[in-house]
Amino acid sequence: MEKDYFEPVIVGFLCRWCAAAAADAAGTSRLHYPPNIRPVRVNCSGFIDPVYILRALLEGADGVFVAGCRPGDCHYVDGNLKARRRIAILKETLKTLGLEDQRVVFEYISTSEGSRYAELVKKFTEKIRGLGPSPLKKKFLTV
Amino acid sequence: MEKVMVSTDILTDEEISRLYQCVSCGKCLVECPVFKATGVTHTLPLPKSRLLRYIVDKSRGKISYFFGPQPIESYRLNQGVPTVYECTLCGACTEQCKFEVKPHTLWYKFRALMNMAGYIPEPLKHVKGGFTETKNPYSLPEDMRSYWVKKEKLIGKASVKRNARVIYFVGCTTAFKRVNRGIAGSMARILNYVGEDWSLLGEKEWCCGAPWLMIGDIERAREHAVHNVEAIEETGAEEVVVTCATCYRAIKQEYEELIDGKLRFKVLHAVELIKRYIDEGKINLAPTDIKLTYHDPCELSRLSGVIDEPRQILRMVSGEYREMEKNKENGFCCGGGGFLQATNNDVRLKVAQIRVNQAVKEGAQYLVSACPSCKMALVDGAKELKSDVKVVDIVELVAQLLGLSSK
Amino acid sequence: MRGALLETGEETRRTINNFLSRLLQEKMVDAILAPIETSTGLVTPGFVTNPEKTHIIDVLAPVIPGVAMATVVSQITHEKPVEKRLGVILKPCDIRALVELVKFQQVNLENIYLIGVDCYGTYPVIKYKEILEKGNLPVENVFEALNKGGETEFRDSCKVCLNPVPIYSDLCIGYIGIEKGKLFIEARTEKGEEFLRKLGFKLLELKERNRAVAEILRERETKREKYFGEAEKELNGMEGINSFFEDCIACHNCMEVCPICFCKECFFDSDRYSYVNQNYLEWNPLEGTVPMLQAKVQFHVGRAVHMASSCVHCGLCEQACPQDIALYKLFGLIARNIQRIFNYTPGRSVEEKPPVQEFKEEELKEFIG
Repeated sequence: MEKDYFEPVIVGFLCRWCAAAAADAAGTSRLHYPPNIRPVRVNCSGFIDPVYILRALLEGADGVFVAGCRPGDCHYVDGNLKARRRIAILKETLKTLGLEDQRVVFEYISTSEGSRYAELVKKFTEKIRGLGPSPLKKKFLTV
Repeated sequence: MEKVMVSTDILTDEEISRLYQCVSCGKCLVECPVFKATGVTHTLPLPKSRLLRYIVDKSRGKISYFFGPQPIESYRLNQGVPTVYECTLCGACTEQCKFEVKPHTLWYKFRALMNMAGYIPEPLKHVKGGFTETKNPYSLPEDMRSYWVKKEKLIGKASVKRNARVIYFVGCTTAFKRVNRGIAGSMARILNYVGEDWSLLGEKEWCCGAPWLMIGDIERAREHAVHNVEAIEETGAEEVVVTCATCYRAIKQEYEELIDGKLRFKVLHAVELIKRYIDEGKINLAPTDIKLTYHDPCELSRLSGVIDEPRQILRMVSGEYREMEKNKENGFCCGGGGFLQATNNDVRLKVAQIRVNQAVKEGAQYLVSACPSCKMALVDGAKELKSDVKVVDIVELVAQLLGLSSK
Repeated sequence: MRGALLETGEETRRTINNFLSRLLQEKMVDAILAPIETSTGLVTPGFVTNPEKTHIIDVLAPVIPGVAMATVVSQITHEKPVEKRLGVILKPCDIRALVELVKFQQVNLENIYLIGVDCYGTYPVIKYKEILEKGNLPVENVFEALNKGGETEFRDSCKVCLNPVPIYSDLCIGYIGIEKGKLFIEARTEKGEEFLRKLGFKLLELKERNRAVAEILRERETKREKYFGEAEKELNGMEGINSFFEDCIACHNCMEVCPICFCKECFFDSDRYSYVNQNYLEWNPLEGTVPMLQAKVQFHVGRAVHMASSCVHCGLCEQACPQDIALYKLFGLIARNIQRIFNYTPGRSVEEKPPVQEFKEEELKEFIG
């Protein structure tokens, strides 16, 4: 089936204090997970303007994986709580417009959870593989 | 934060009330040629209008009522320089406006306001000195104004007389620019051909002053207007003929206000005069089968209403006349206006390319216009596109068909 | 609500303007910021300080002339509060926008008195001009529609508006649910009551007004559900959005007139976003620049993500679009859905923080994972 040959492009926004550290831990423990994810390290999940997630989806990403610290653990106190609201607004917007909001996911991952990081990325990549290429990334030239 | 007091005295009460009649309906945005060329939103008409309203509110309007006249943040004025000056002053915005704002007339005053506050593009700052000294916007030596007479082999046949019925006001872009010399030569030959009693002004001719209005210096424009009117009246001329659309509109529509008096002569564009000679039987044009199309110079057609005469002439010249899709009052600018060539030539070239392509789409061999600024811009645009459309002025075409060219 | 009942006869506008003159004469306010009639018959926000000059005010003009009164107030009080007392005439959506802007520190309400006006609906500016050109008074058309319950050519956002009567103001000039030939000036706050008492008015309750308003809301709620239901179907997926934005020329006028978009430099115009580049604008020598669909989706959907949580449903975005795209369908729909998640109504209260300004420890579990 065509879907077996589809390699999804996943963009990952990982907060450097928790999620990126977990990704590093997964690496040093030689844990295997799909290489489809392109990680982008940000200082805090609260730094991410949801428009960049939208931009990623429109420019070729099939899925966007956002990960931040658990509530209460944020290095900047409440950045992850703000991120939760912003991503909720983004997902609701995508859902309203029928643009497959399941392609955006927000997870809490703490520093020590290397294997959980690998597990979540694997699950998400398979989910996106099942959904197929993102409908947003077709380039329509309107004249 | 750096702030600057800005005077808005240059705006009359009528202009201010027109400014506030704007309802942001957005219709002016659709036809702006600079927006079509660049996609940049801050040079659109509505950002200009909003910035001007903000300046007026702070200096003498709503905000000043509560806090006294307030200074404007200089970062807004710096951003305002491309907003105001990257514009060809083509008037397409005014054509679309249903609320009688007449925006492009406000942009002239906006340039005057910015100039007085000292915020104009760098290239225009450099133009000012030479322009003042040499009386032409190209800062070329004054005696070069008549150089075209020699190059067109018209010595003795295009001269300066003490008295004449008709003055041919050549205009700087025709006189000083090599690509346009043929227009002046052709006009001179046509006037001789019909036996008109005409004269040049020679070195008494100064720039019509419109470029000063485009920079925003109304006083300098006034000096030029006063001087030119005096020079013309000294000859006792009844009529002044011009080959440039900008000179036409400036003398016909701006001079009386600038000199605060009445003009004692009529102003004609070459197409109006040539049409009259045809009607009087002094010129007969045999039809050809050249595929040609006409570019309406904004200052002649949309802003002055001279739309039919050039078409009547061209329909006589060729059975293969076709209109571009944007024509007459809805003509698309060539990019050559508003002193844009100095401020940002890249934008001018983009606008010109769009216009040349509109001619190419109609299968035109000749792209005819009636203004030297348009001719220059369209020639430059055709060069960028590597198109072999021939750009020619209507005066040159008529002279050529009468067998009067210098070659 | 208590208020004063005024006899107007045929002279509604003059009665209101006389009332405003008295506010100035009795020195209860120093200036009134209101829609002023222009020479073309439309209105523009301006202010009057002379009680003899109030005849130029047209409070009931059913049109919003491109700039929301809330934006004007924010331009005046953005840096510092006014020291003179200012009475501002506002439609209900204007008041909501004003309250939101207060919460974003764009407006300072010190020394400002809000005089709300009932609004059964407004016409698009072009339609308003047409009515004037036919020789009719647009406000008469509104009264007729109100009395006969007729369908009119109001803007879409007005036809489904659930807020014909202001919910936050000191005074309210009311005509909905009031018998013909009369006007009801409601006092909504203590300050408002003080004004009316000082001017010597007797205050009374009018229950039939509440009933009339409730009737309108009932009718409109059904219309609103239907409107957004259709919008949802139309805006489903990239195909629907593609055809929706086909005519968009990326002029950004919708963003400029939106009262909630108060950023001095829009994110989408700034260097951080680099929107005007080869990816998003095709340079086609035949047509000039052609905005690509991605660019349009980014701008509109991105702008919605930024501001829809505080959208006051004024519909100015749709009015400002030169290509006649029904933008309120998109922004109203997204705004309604986002505001539902947080159970937030913009402009309802100055104390209630907008969704983007706060967060709870435990919430939105359905959006995680």
